[in-house]
Amino acid sequence: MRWIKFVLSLVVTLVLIYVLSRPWGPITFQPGTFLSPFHGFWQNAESLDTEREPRIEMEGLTKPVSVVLDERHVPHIFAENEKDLYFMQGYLTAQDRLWQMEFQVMAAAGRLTEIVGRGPEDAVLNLDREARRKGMAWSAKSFEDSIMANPISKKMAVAYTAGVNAHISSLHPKDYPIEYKLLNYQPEEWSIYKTCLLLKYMSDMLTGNTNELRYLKSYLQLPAAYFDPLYAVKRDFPAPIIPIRPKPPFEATSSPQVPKSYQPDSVFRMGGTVSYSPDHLGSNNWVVHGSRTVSGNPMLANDPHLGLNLPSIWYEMQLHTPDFNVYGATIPGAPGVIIGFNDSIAWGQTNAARDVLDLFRIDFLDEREHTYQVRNKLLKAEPKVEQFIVKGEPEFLDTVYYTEFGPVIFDDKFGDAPFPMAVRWTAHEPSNELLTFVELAKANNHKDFLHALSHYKCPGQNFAFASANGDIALKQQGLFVNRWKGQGRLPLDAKDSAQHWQGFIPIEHNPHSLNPEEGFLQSTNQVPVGPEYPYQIEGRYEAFRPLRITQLLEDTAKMTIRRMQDLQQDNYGELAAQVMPMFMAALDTPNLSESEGMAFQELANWNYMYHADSVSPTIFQAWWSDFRSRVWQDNFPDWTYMWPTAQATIELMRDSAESLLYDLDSTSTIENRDTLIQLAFASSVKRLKEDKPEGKDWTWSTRKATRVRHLTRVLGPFNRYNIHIGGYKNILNATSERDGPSWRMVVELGDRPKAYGIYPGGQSGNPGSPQYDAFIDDWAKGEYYPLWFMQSSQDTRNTPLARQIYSPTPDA
Amino acid sequence: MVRFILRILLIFLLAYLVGRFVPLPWQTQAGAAFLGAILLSEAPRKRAYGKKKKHRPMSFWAGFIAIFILWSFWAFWLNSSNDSILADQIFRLIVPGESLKGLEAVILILATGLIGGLVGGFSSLTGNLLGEVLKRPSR
Repeated sequence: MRWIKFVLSLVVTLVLIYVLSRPWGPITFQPGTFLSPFHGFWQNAESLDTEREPRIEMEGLTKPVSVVLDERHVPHIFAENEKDLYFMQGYLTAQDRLWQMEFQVMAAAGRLTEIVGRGPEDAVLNLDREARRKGMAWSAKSFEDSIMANPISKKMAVAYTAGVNAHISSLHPKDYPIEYKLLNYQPEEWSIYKTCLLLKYMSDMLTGNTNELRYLKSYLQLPAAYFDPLYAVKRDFPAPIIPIRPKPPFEATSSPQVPKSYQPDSVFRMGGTVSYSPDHLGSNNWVVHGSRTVSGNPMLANDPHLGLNLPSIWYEMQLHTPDFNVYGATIPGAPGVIIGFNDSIAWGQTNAARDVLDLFRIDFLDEREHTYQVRNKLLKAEPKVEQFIVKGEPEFLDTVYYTEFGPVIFDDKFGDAPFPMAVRWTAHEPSNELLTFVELAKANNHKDFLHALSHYKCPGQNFAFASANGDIALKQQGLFVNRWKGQGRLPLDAKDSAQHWQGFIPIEHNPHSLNPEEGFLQSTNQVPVGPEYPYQIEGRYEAFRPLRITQLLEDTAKMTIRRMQDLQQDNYGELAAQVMPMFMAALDTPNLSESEGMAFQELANWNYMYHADSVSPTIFQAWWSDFRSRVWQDNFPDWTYMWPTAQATIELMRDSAESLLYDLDSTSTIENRDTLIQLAFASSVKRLKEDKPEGKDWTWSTRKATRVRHLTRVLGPFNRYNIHIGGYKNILNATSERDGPSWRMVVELGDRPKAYGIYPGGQSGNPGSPQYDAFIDDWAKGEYYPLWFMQSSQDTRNTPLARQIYSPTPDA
Repeated sequence: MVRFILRILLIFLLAYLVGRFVPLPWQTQAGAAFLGAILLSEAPRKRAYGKKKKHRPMSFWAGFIAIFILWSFWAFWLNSSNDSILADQIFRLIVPGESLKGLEAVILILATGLIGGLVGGFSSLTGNLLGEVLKRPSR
């Protein structure tokens, strides 16, 4: 009897424990582990005043390292040598950002299904498949080989990896970041390969678009005479990155001509789906010569616009050895400083936005062997079976065929493509970008800067530069294809060797300017050069911010740090300024309804500023997007078509009030520009009035509802919503709904650099820490933090949170 | 009653030590309650008038109370030095919807205590029953 009672009780207990140890709900945490205050999320409820030990023994160091943690939780690392420096960079970054580092690597490697499953309608699996079919892992492997072949980058990467792993191995499961506990998995060991994957993730974010398919759909939709004017890159843009000079300072290598055999009409039919690549990521940087500043010192400003994510893409750090001293934004997962400054120079980056990824149609001659024809030869594609581990479900297998161009990304099994398409991408080329950042950290002058850049291939960037000895420079750096005009906008045919890549533009011919007579240089993702540059430029370019920043820089005879900051916050809508006169002139003012009249009055007094509390931008944006849809929707019913840019739309409006493009298929009358403007005005005002939520208003920041989202996208409470901030796409303060200035930095060089910066996040990756989102409010207000560029670990100009010494274990 | 309180204290102490200082999974909390109950287990004795003493439910409550207090107190402690920053977000993650105006952390603390208490209670009951079985032949 007693035995039976015992067994019964035991069974109940075991069942209870079992149930509490099972994954629970869609998030899949284990309730028992998760709730236990010794194991679960309570352990991540960081104390607001953690005491930090002043002395810590650390296996793997060669000499003691001093770490000063300032009041914003920025670590300042003072090491005796680079090995210890990068070791500690890895260790401290992992301490704050381990989960993010690994999650981004999993995304790059196409392994997200292991963490979150296939997703609704296989959305996650498709992301993973695309990452594998793009050859991300393959190119990361070759990146790793390049890094390991060079003793400098090897030392850096090995030390960083060891530091990350020193942190990981110090963790018990109770110490894991909260996301591991929620999603019920464990961190893996870090590796150099993972650092490589992470940098490829950045390349993918900035250059990995497969817009060829969207262009193709638009191409097949339009009469040929319309396509080129609407989509061709305009080389006569008035404010390119590199100022127009009569002649380039070099002899161009030959540029290929458009081959006669290139007849996309006959080669392509198109069906199927395409993946969406946002084309609104952009950035600003500019440099001002000492002749145009109050102090006489050169100044640099940079704000890369990226997806607004938490934990932030950037992690702030200072790295110091007896040889160099550098401060700036680092990428969690990669050694070195990506955007920053040292005693002598400052540098910043924007995306070059040049097309460096092309799709090649491959015709497999037989299903079994996967042979294809190139240059009258038969080649065989190498199959690689990709295995996807899917959380809670059986694994998924996908075969990816590697051709001489690259892996087949789309075919009948993926992307629903009518024929297999291989991806050729400069991110696949061997390169060693780590060397660029090693050398930038140590650079003293313009020559060092150029040397550092010479290692840099992908993603192509506009590097702005200023130095204490008075130089300013801007160089567009990357490995770019030497194209014929229009090559690669549409998919190319692998069979025709004239359509292959004919080579690259020599790196020393990349656009570059040093100390131009204007006294400033700027880059805002516009077309880099004028018509005098002897090579073809492909891409999709910004046409509004460059006009505004050029104007503002010309108007500012004597620059100050404060003014540099104000320019980054500038909310002037150049697009609106160009469109509004045409819009307002087209309205039939006597016949407006009451609400239309109010909207009209509001807009009539507008100065084109997209301020957070202004109503005008709300009305204008609704009007403009309604108008744009009306112009293009007949031809391009959805986003799978590439729509002409805003700039092309405005040019159409200016050039023609009666183009057939304006006519709507759905009506029997013939519309022109002004009828569409009127229709758009009436319908957008009506919609705004209907949408008006109770108690809410039309103010711009309320309508825009800028949010900063947790990387998983599915853990809602870790997001931050409704940020009160102005600006928009195509505006210097390029804060849209989900993207924005991800690191604002202003530096004045001189005897000692003076620098200011801020990013929309916080140093800690832990949502349970006040440091998780500590900077967001100040960022939205447009404030900056003075960056404490310490001269030594004993620097006492500020009071830090902690000063720590990490010393090697005694017998190490 | 003294024995009941002793049992609570022993389970509390064991579970606390295991939780704080032994890096093993959460199920060891059940183990601590189980072990504590075995150590202080007691076979049913007959009273003079022949009624059985109701100590078995009491052994459940000993485990329940010990772990409930331990878990909710420890959660409360961690939460108070965190100013409920994390607890508020976790609550909204588990229970999407309306805000409870500051009660999120309290509810999570009580839920933590309750789950821990149930596990502790059943483990303690099981431990006690095993103790009875094991001790009986010696009587």
